[in-house]
Amino acid sequence: MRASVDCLSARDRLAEHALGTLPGREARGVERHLAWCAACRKEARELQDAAATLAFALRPAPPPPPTLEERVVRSVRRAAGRPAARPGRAALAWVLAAVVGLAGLGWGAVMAGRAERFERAALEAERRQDLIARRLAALLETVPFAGRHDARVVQLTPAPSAPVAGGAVVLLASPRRLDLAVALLAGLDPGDRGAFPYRVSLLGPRGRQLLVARIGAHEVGRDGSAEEAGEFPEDLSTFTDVVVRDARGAVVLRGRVPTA
Amino acid sequence: MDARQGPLLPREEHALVAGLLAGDEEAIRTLYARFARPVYTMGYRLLGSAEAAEELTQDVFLTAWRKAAQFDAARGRLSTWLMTIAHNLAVDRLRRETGVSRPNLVPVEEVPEVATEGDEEPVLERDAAVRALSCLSEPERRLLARAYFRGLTAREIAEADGVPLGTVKTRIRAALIKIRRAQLGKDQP
Repeated sequence: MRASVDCLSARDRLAEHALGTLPGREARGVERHLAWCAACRKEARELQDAAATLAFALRPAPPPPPTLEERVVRSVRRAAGRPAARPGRAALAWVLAAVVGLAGLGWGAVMAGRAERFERAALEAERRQDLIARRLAALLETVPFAGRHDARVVQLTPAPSAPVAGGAVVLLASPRRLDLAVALLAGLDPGDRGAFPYRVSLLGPRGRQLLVARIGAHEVGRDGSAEEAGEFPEDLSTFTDVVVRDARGAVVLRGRVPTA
Repeated sequence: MDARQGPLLPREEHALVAGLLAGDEEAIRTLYARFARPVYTMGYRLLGSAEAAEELTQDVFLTAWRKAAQFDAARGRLSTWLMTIAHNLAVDRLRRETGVSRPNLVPVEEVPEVATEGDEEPVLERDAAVRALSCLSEPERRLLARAYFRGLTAREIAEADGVPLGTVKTRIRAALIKIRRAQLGKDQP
């Protein structure tokens, strides 16, 4: 049952509401009241303006990196994206098959090799590979690409003793829109704070390098996986390799972009 | 529209938020130029690292995009709306990460630090905020900081200080009203 809040009790709570310290149930009661009471709403607005002043008065942090603006612009534009052409089922199926089915290459082979010795590890590898495929499928439902010829799937192989189990990068080329890169990493340990953020970079001829994903600890799901997608003005089809480095600069995963 | 000059009119705020909702690049960049720094600072000070501050900044702009349709300049300023989003996200993240219902955000001594004249990189909103906060006494600033930056409820403050709950509520409210009056350039009662 919804608690009824009158003006008197609402106003008694508005200051705490403005500071964000009102316990959830009381806050919801106040918000319901504010939805219809213009007088209390006016007072709430004034107290919120005052509370926000505290935030603006904080001693400034060092400047954020210049790349942050681009990431913000990109992520909002992507979220607001124009209606995207959904990938054809055949194309989607091909990409998923490429991710799941490269048993003879990449980390699939590495994990399979370990499997001879460690059955549990093999099951875990299968589980993670399946997880990557499922998360990738969900991602690809939301992005535009025309067909299998636009997509390249890069399987990432873990470096010896790397703390990351595996991953994949999908590069989607587009003649009209920005190219898209989707990076998925699995087997991440969010407790290993020193390793984050992981940086996924494309390498090209003459030392070209492009950062396509930066995965922080908070992005890791309960299942130990994380993904990030980004749009880029560069022609991603010119890159030849993918490396994933941890925050210490060590290469933990790498893969070669298959030729078209 | 210069990013750092002059307060925004309500119609300008509406136009910016409409642009944000539509994914308009110029609107996003204008909002970023105006508000990214204080949002980033909140993340940096409350969450404790540049990495967390970057993530918070991205999340704030994405959340603002998701909630853009709800923004009404007649019901609140854009700066307040964005900083409320930032504060809520920062507190939520701390609660999630620490697994406690009441986060220990930042040491009281750290915040809010009132700058002196000639402080580096003047930012419109910050200058106004610093001026407005200068109207508070030290106990009032510490009281608000304990609530806003440490997430303490009025009841928790009352119990910790051995003061009646009603007194704490009254003091919090009075301090916020003093800030508000200072913002509006009114004399203290």
